[in-house]
Amino acid sequence: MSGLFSILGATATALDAQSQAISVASNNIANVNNPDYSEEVASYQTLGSIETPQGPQSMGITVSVQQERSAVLDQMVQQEASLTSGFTAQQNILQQAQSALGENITNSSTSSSSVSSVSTSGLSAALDDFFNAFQALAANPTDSGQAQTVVQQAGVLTDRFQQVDQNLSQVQAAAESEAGSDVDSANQLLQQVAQLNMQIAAQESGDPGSALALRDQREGAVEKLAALIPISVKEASNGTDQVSSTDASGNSVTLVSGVAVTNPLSISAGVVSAGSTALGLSSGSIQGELSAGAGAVQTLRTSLDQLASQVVTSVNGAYNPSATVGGNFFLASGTTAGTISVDPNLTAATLVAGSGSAGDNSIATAVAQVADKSFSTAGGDSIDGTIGNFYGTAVSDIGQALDTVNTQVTDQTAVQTTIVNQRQSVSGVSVDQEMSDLMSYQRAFQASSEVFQVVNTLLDNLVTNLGAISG
Amino acid sequence: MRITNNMVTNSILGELQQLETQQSSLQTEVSSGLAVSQPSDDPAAFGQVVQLEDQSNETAQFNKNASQALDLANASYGGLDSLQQIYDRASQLGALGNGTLGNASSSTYADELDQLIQQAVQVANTKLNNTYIYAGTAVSQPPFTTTANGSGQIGSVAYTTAPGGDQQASIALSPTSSVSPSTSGATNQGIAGFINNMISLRDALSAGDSSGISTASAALASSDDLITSAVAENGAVQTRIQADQTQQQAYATELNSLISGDTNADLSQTIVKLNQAQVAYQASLQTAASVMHLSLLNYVNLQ
Repeated sequence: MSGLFSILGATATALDAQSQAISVASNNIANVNNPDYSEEVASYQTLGSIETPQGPQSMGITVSVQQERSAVLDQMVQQEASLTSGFTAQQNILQQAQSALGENITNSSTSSSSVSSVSTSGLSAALDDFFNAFQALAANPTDSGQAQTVVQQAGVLTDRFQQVDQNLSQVQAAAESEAGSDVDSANQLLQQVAQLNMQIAAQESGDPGSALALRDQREGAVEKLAALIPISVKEASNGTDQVSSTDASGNSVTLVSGVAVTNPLSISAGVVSAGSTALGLSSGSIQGELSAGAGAVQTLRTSLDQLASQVVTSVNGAYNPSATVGGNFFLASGTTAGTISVDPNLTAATLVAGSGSAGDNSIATAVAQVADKSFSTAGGDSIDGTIGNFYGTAVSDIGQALDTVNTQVTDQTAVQTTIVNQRQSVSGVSVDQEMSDLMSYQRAFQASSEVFQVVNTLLDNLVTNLGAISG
Repeated sequence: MRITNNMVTNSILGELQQLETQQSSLQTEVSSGLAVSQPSDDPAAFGQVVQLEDQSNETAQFNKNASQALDLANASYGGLDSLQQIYDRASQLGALGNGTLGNASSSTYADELDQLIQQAVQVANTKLNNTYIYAGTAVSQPPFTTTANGSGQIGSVAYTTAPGGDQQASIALSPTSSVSPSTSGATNQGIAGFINNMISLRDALSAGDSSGISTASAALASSDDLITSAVAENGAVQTRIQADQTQQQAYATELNSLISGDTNADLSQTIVKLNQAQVAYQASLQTAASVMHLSLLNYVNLQ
């Protein structure tokens, strides 16, 4: 008798276990498109058996739920996210810088031929036009129209230098401000991780590893954080994550320990610090923004400054060989791309083409020749090569920087996709698998119900028949 | 490898994205005809193009300069040629006058010579584009000034002493070469001497001074040699400018073809690549459509 009742008890635990397994499958299916979610697996354990006078009796079964998570793959995903977003941030900044420079090639097609040329809106065209205007003045030194053209082209050249410089400085400012808002986001994420640590520790105090949904959320937050700055994560025995980054010499700097943000991030003058320690960032979008702004964009600005300085010095030297006060072409004090300007005393009427008589073109010729002069920094000049060479190289350099980072982004995205897919292979949800699991749980539930039915019938028989004897 | 639903979408999206990027850049290449339009497309080629473009623009300017120089040289030649014609008639008049000394006709010859002198002074003060062409670089004032004699005729001609009168402006034809299309200071001085010799001839004719006519005729002939050599020099300058222009034009064509070579897309190749990308994109879409809507759900019916 006791056997049948214990079977009923054990079957009840089986029905319970199958229901729980079905609930796990349903949860998995619900989260099939949640990228932070990791698949949960129901695993059965028997509750053991006890010895009875009728022999060993099963206590039934129970279900425990585990996450399919690999700490190694999680860490790899974090690292790759950090690298990808670092390159992407650089790409973004350098694309802006390339546009700010305004050099591109256009194709002008005529009925008979198609001619490619560098756009007329860039600095390159302005430099050409400026020196060509002097060349034309040299051919026609008494032409007041030509003098007017020289003054106009000089205005276009200085405007374009200043405009490009201003555009590039705006790109740098935008990069810094993006880095600043990324630091704010990172601090919020650190807070979020600390908060989730607290909830996980509380929920798991009696049952380690059981706060599955919270752990998914925390992993999501950590990955978002990794996209901003490079981090490493270590799980403590109470389930909390310790998040740390590294300083310039590679020493670990703890950002989140237990339930508290120990060293919040701050940014000042292009340096990101955790607490009072300056961090040595090697990847992440903050590093990408800072390095592109201070690297390739700054190099371009420095080159333009050197170019402007050489143009001012050489043109003034050729135009005003005796260095007469007030006789310069460009303002001598404006030797950067941002400050280059035509001397306020200079107008088409005061412009001179030669040093003596009206038809003398020696000065115009000397200025026009600056365009072809080869300079050398070893000889005390600001640039190496001709003005055209130097500018061509500067444009090429920024193009190269962007081209390199474009390739890096493509390669890195492929690597990241592979790693994410590897993790998805382990932690992702497969609808097919859930469906087949669901079927097996359903059938098991149906079978257990049948057992329940059989035992019920047996008990009914027993009760009815015994009742007939006593009556 | 266990394949999960997100992996399928990740891979398909990644591939579609890549193919779309590829298609878009190929499409831009085909529509613009340019393989390189931004510095990052091909940094080395772009840097090269910026420099080639510099040279191309400069060459175009040198070409304009050469045209300007040619105009000036032509104008100079025109004047010198007129002076030669004047000389031809003047020397004729000198010879004729020597044979008719004392006749009324000799004073007629002197009158004609006086007209020729005025014409020569006018030629010597020729202007082109509002500048005097036989003036060295002192082009804003008339280079030849005349002094009248007692009878109101031109008594003497002097070449300007203004600064620049003895100089010759040169126009650049290339970064390394230049040409002086106008006459030299010495030639200009020679023109003044030539006119003064005509004046001496006229005066000798008027005075019926036979030996004076011979001396003046000889002096006129020798000063004409100077003009002849200036004409020859001018011819050489014009030939040089024309040769230079031809060379510059060939160079400009060469530069344009270099720029095009660096930047232009190979259309047949690009279109074939675009077709390949389109086929791959279509295949990717088709497989995605058939893979993504299939699962166990299509075949089982849970009851």
